Amino acid sequence: MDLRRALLRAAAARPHVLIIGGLGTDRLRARVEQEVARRGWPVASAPADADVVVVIGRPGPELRAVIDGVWTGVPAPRSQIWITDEDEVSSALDDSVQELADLAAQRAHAPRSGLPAIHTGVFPPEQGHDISEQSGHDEPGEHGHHHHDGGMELPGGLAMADLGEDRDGLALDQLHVPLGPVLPEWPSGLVVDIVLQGDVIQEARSRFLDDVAAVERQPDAARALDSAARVLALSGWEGPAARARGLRDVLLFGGGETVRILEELDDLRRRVRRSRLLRWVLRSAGAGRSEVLEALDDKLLSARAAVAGAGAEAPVATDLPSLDARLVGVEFAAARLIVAVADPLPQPALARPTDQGGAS
Amino acid sequence: MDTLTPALVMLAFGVLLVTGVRILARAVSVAAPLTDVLPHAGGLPPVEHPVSRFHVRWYVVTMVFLAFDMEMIFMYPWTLVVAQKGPAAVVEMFGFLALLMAGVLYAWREGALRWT
Amino acid sequence: MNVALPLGWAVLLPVLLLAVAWAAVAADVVVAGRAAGRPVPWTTAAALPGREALRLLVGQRRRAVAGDELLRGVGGAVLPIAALLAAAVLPLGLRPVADLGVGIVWFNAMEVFAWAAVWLVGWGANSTMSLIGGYRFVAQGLGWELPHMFALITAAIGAQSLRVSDVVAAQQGLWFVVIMPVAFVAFLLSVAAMAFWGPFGAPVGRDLAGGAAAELGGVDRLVVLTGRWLLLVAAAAMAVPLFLGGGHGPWLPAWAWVLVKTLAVLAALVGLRHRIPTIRMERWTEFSLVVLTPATIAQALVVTLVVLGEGGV
Repeated sequence: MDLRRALLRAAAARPHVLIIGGLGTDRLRARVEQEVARRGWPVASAPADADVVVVIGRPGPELRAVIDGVWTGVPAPRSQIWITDEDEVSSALDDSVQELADLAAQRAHAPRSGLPAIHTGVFPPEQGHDISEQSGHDEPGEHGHHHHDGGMELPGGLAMADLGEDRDGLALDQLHVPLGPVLPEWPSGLVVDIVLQGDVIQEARSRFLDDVAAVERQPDAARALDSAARVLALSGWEGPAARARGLRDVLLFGGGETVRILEELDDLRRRVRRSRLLRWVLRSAGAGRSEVLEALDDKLLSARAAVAGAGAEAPVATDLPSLDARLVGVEFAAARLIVAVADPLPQPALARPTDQGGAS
Repeated sequence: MDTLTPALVMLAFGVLLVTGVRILARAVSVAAPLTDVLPHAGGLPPVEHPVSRFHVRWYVVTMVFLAFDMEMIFMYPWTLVVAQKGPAAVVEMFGFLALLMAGVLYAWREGALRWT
Repeated sequence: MNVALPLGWAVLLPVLLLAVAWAAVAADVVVAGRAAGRPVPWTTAAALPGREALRLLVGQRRRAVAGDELLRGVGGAVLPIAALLAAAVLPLGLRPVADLGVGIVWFNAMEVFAWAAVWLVGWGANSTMSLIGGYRFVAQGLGWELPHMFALITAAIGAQSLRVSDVVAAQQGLWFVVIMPVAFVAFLLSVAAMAFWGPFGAPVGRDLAGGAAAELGGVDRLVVLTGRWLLLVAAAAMAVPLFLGGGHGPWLPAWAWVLVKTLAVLAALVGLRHRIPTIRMERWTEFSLVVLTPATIAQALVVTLVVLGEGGV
């Protein structure tokens, strides 16, 4: 038993962290990401890969249900911490390591079944119901009856995929998938309900969970860098992505001179512009030019302008309907890039005239 | 058969290693396996079972590949005799390859290598 | 003339491969830290593979709802075992563990097991992300396999033998990389691609939340990730006997040369990895079939003509 305790302690020293936050938690998320990176801990890609689930801000009812669903899929040893204030970040992460290393508690509280549905009673019933009703409304079709006891007796209470026509008019399986909000390099609180055939998206409908009117907004430069970092990370440029995040953190929390930030931003922009491989990888199949790359460059440029205080560059952002339109007929990896670069804003912000064009 | 024996020993040892690690994990892991995990696509409950007939857009590529793969079966033994058989064997093999390449280029022009 | 090593080496070889894989992971962490502007100390990096393995060993496994546990388990196990079997024909010095007359074909056959393995792991999880990841790897495989086979065959033409130790013997004077540089580059690309690693990591990419490995927890993840690194090491090591003169070299004994050259190939791969973005399948398929395949065919033709010209008859 002592050996097992020692093993667990060694294993818990470098946990993988899954950060979950709703709309308007970007600043707090940046703070947590900064601290996690400072400790050299990896950011988890999925619940299966996570040891610590960090919930930031005060999630609304919809996101709360998502957190419960994610949590049931996180394997032990595991720890869940809630952070509402920037001062708590460091101590909360320390606590989580303690919790991970506690063998007796981990054994006692290890999850047994991953079914978060109504039958197991893990969700409060009305919340679980809420979610399935929601997705049922979003995609008109007969797949709304999952999780209800009276449906087909398939494992997990899920239906099988139905047939649908592909681009050539062939009848093939169509999969309805709610994407997000807990995905790597994904905008906070965003959900895109997609219809997939293979790895190509046929229909997309995006929405924000717990859509609220007043959302605390990041400074434009930080927001642009955040989005740029997502695009870079999705393109497999983890190094430059981390550098972009580092710059964002300096902008948000201080700790660097403006001159150096500008230098590093220019350096980053030069690397992005010069890489012919990146251009080749990001280019969409049809168009000769790369929309994603251009938008990425715009973001770095607007971040630079905001830092230098030279003029008000409109933040490159897009609204939900135009995002939906651009996801149709796109391969999955390309779709992820489009979402990352679009960096959509919730509806109230659309009243601002500068955002209407969907400039990306 | 003699030459194959070390490879078979290696196979047995490999199976032993993987099995050993799994048994070790059963002994030291914190808890018994978590069962009935729903697939993760972002945290919302799935609508359908993801195992579906996956629409493979690049199915033409598999056909192209198959043609080359069959050719490869001839080419491996061909490497052993090409020096003895001389230029005739070279012309035959690379003529065949040129034909296959023409097929690839045709498929490319027709857009068979594109996803969407 | 069977020049295989004593049978005990069959047990020693996996240990050697794991040790090299350990070093490669540690080096990768250091390079990644430097690329991100947050340097990782050597001591931390050196302990990191063990720490991560431990973390997965004590971690809880996960079984998907309506998933195919058997296929997923088999797929995971196949990855490291295929890597070990592929490495069996690798000359450690001048002699391999298994000196097969068709060693090159054997190597080729073993690494193709990865196709099935990754797909099975992706399919067995009953998850959209895993499924897409598994199919991505098949698409990737269709792309790398052709240039890869032509690269292998080019080395075989050069030595006029499919026995790996003969290929090494044929490079006593001149390393094959000199007369077949295109094949060498294509081989290195396919090394990363078959290990779905670095720029070819799309099958387990972040955009898919881990792709084929997205739903793996505990020891299942450990076996798959270890198998992936073993594949990378085994395939990178194969570049040494095929193109870099194997154990030939001055001063040092043959085994030391193999080790040094293998580490050099891995160092080059790890160093390059952080400069090259992830290659998307729709790009890769087109490139590999329309550019890389004809290039490697042309390379094979050139080498064939050289061999004929030298009066191989």
